[in-house]
Amino acid sequence: MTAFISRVYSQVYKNMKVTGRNYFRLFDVTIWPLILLFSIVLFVNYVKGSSDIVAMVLLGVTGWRAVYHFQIDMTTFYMEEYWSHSLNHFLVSPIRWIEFFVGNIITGIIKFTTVLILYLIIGYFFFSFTISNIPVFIFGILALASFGVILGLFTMGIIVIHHENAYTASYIIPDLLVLLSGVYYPISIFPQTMQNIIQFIPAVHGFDILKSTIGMAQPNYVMLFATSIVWLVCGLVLFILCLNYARKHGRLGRMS
Amino acid sequence: MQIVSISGLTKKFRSGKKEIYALNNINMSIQKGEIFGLLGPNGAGKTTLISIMCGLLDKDSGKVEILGKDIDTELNQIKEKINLVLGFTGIGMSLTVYEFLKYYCYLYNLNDKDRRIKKAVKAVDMQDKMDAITLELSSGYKQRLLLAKALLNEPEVLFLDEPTVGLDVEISIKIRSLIKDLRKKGTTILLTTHNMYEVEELCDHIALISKGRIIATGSVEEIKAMIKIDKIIEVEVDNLRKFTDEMKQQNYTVSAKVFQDVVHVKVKSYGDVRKVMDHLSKSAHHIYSVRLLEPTLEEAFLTIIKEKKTK
Repeated sequence: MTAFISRVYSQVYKNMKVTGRNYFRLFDVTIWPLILLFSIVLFVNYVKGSSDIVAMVLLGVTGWRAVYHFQIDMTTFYMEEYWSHSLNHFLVSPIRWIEFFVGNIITGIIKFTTVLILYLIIGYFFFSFTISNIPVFIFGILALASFGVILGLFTMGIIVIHHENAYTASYIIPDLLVLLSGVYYPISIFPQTMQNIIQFIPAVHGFDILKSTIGMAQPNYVMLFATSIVWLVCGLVLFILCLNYARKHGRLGRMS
Repeated sequence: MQIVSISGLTKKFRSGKKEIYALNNINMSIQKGEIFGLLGPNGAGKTTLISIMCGLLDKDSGKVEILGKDIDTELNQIKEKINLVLGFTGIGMSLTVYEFLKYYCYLYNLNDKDRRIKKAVKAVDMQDKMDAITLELSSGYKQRLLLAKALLNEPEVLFLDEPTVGLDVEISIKIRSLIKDLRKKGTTILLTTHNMYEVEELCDHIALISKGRIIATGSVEEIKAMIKIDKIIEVEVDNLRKFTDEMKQQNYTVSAKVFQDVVHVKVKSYGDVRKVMDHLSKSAHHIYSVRLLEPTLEEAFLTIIKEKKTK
């Protein structure tokens, strides 16, 4: 086993063990996604939404969970080291940041896949929902997962400096951006100026890809790639700048 | 052979408009297989120094080499060969002891994981705690677990930042014994502690650090010899009162006092110690014992700090 694989696996190993032993962490892939799904979809059913609207909401909830898991796991499992007073020992170990990120992306894949299977089963049996175009659906999920990773870079940047004081930001930032991205509705409901601005959020185009599987949006792949690359570069630059700041000003570790 | 070499190391922190030197032109070296003690009051810069050496904190200037590698360019290679134990930090994951150690085996890319874990756990006497959740361990066991973690990669350099702080006597003794065993195996150890007894027992060399500067360095004996404090001769004789009065009359005596069933005679120099001995040999007293009381490291430490403050 190469050093890279071993250190990537260290993250998956720890995350899975910690999640498996903690009921509240397990709720993250069971109870909470189900509450989110049923609360929104049942409401749409109650207001007599058409099957297309139900499908759009189901796709939105699924896409939103993709962003969430790929973003929040990164920050939560870093904070796990902080909360457990192990952060300095972890940072003194030879793990590289790339290995940390890859390990936590794999954890995100495992957790999101669990939620996806749950959603597909419930969607099928409760709301007669099936995915009409699987390749496009997978591509849309990948786009949103990538956006989750990029958001993870932004929130990790803030967290390496401010630790638990910034942990709330790791919930607020994606919530805000995803809501602006037309998760359960077309972005045409926003004023024109705002629509022009939010075109620069990659998640808008990711959700459009999902909606396109039921013919409710026209995805703009060029904008998806362009905005994703710009956000990725910005995320990387911000993370590196924050990391350097933390290392220079003694904020990285948690020394006694 | 030099394992750690530090020259001109400086680190400043900004506090409002002021710049405060956390470390100011630190120069020191640690030889292979020795236990090097870093002593100083709170805020002296000990933890800052360890943080820089472990890559947790950037320095402003100077050069730090560990195992012949520069921390600026070869930190990742260095990290594979060092380890760290911090006192007071705890650890409280919902992993078992075995899982926690296995996690670190993966982080350090170690093969033969189970053998290493068993060996490390045995060294800290925690074989019966393998399935215990780390979160639920007592502070003593948590500290022992951190030591076990630090043994996994068989580090060439081990940083121990107050490893026995807050622990009971029995566990502290076990940990000190383990540190001695590591030295026998050739591990180089940098130890920070407030416990002077621990320093005297363990350290080959020490550096006293105050306000970011190294103010004295040498062996424990050399540090003690640096201070100019009065010498105390403890004398046990048949007639304590009479002997005390005799001593008080001598012009070289600073003071003479009875302490329970001995007399403490304080003089200025070793020459004066000789005079006391001469007096005793010529006197008619029955002498039961004579002992020169050495200054403790604590006295030396406080005196040196005080001298530096006065200057």
